[in-house]
Amino acid sequence: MSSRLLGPALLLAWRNLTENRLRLLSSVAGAAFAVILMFVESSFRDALLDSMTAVIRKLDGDLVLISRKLYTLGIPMSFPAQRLDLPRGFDDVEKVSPLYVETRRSRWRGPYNRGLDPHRAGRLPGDGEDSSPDAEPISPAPHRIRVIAYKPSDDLLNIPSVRESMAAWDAPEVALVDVRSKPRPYGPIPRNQDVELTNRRIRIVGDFELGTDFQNDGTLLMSEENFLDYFPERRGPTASDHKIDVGVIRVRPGTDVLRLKRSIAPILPRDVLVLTRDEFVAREQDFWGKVVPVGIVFNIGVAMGFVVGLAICYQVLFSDVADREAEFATLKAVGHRNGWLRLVVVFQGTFLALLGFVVGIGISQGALVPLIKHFTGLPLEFKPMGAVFILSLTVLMCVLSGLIAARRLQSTDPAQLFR
Amino acid sequence: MIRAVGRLLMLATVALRNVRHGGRRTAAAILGTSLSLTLVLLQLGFLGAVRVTAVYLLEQLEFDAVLSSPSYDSLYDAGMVSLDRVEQASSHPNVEHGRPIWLMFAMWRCPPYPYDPGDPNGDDDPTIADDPKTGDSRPTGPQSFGEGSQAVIDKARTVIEAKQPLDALRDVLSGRYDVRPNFRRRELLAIGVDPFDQPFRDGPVADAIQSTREDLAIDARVLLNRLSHPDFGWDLRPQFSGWELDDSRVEVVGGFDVLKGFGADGGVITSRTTFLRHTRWPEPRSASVGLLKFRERDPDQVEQTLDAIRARLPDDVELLSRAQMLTRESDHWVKRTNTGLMFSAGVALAMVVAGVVVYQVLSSDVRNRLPEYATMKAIGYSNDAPVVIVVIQAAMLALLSYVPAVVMAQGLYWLTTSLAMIPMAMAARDLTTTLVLALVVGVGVSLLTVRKLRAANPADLF
Repeated sequence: MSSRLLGPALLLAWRNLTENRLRLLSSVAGAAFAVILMFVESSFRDALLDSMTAVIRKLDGDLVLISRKLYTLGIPMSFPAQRLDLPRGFDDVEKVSPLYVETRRSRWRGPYNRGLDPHRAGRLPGDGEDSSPDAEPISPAPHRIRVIAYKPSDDLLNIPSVRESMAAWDAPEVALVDVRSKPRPYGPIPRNQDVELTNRRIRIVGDFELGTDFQNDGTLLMSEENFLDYFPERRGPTASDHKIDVGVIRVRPGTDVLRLKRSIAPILPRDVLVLTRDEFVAREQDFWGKVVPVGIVFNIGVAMGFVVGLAICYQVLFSDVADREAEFATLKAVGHRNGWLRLVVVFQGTFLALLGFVVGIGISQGALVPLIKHFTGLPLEFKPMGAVFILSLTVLMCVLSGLIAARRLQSTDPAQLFR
Repeated sequence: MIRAVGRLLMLATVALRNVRHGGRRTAAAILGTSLSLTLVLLQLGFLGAVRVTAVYLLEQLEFDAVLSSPSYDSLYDAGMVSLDRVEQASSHPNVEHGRPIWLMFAMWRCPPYPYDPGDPNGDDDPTIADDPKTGDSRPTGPQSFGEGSQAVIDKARTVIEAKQPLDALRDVLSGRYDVRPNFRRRELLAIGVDPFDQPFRDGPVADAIQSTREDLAIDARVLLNRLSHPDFGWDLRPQFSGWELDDSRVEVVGGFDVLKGFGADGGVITSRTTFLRHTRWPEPRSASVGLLKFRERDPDQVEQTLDAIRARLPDDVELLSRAQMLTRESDHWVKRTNTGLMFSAGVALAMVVAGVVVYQVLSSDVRNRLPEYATMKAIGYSNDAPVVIVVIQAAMLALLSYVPAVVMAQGLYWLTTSLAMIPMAMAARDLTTTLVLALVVGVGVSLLTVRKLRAANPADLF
């Protein structure tokens, strides 16, 4: 095909598509919905893996020490803090700090929580016995909340608002709360207010942004000292017996992290493992991606979006081709080949794909994803690579349907025009 | 009257002809519509699976009312109810019996995969150094296999290749044949019951407990859920013996079948004493929930009994009827967990997409036949005739698309069940919802085109 004919094909395809405004609108809407469907389903799938690894990805460290039995940070497995002394002996290691995660015993009871019975809401379970003067009415129905803790001075989480408020949460009986915690079980996020954590009063002195996941509806952050107070079963007789969940290792600048990892590994006892942060993320994703079936379900969702999109585009292009059969027949009569006609339809499909993609990405990223993010608190991030993947799926979908729709043109006979 | 029916029949015939002679255009329309209906059915099926698995375990239990803690969240996180309260409630004359049940997550030591027959204890990773039965010290040699060892991977590959293609795909997707020496401990749901007064309804679970109750009553013996994730090792039960529940050695003396849900990947049933001794349950005088069985079970009696018991119980416990309990559990999973919320969003989205597709199909059909409708008007038909035709035609298209959609969705359900191991079943409610959606959207959209049809001007034909 000579390139001289490409320009007219593009132009004709564009004119065909945009001739009727209303029709253009309905065609683009069809393609856009397929795009939205694929976008939303794939961001659900990503959300599963991203949310489960959010804490790990925010860790400000190069290597981590975890219990050998730990298979997901959603179900913490602690080990004695003593294990941290071993990597401390290496010259390249700058600092080793303990991180605590509690998801099972930590129960939050906020001023807004309500039990099932409306008449009971607003009363303490043992009203009367509790005579502390500043007792605010706090309702029953405590709800599980994830608690993350470390020494504020260790600065383990790479979250700006946590770093800025370091002085505020380095005090007794205070904590920071994740603003993305779900409003449903916890109520509106309290600020400078007392709530209950595992039946003890705690003051919320600030907030940060992390996000929920499939195991946790919300997160509290507190100092190591507070954590050991609220969860005394984690406290050992000495500091090196405290039960910690992750040891975060920071190395000196310019260190070969993998080599350091290989030299630390052999000296560790069998109950702990050393991993790079990326390996830790990969391990966590491996568990959630393969073991929990939700990922497969959303992949099926993306595939269905593609198939439905294919059907929508075929419907649009086919009816357009059928309507213009006379015009195409005339083009054939004046000497254009089948291939060129097919190219026109494919171009039309590509334009449709691009328009549908732009509208689809606009609606899903501009309206739907923020909405779902608000209701679930999940970290639905926009991923350029994911968008490119969906764009290629969209173009493929429209080109394929264009090729199928253009099959009709093979048999178009100019003579039919005059029947 | 008769004339009106006759005219309607005539117009219906025209609609039928329109559909029948539409050729590839109609085929494309039906394909598009039925695919989008399939999508709706699929998403409803996902959401249905959340609902089904949410209440599955509860439904197997025998109770008319349940005592639960005010901090009850879901059956997997139920809080605690004092046994005294269960006894107190059971003393009501209409209560036949009150039975406590304990549920808690516990760590399970899974057999290594692939399994090494020469090493029945899987000794690379024991919590306990000594075998309590023989008193032998376990060898504490080097790990029996290292991460990514080639021999292990080859072994896994032979297993995969020996399977049927779909089995292999499922096994790979579910992670069954991955070499994951690190996932040797996984959390499962431990259920504690009294083996001689077990709380399950007559059925396979009750039978499983009853047939092994003498065994179960002995300390440290458990039944393992056969439908647990393969990691938990039911298949390796004959060879492997190094089972551990939390930190103590246990013995698997049988199996039971409970659907794996979104809450837990596996489960064991133990006796109450085993449960209290070997899990981290903090308070032996409390259970997770108390299950009450009533003598008189007609709705009025149940309501009266509930009120009477509520009146005598203090605030530290809640009493719900069976129906309330099931609704609460299903609502929790559908409305409050991220899994449920995401599937609900999927359903909404699929419905919108289906609506758009149906709209597109119908409006392009109307557009194409506009000259024919104009002709009808020119030869004296009323303004409404084309509208009636289009509405009937829309209903026909909806029905014609619905049938293949149900068939395709059945196939996808089967695929999802075998790939993701999620129990997908076509509920009558979902079938009706989809059919109503197709008909309502179809007819609604065709009414939207009324203006266009009314405006069809015979003169435009020329």
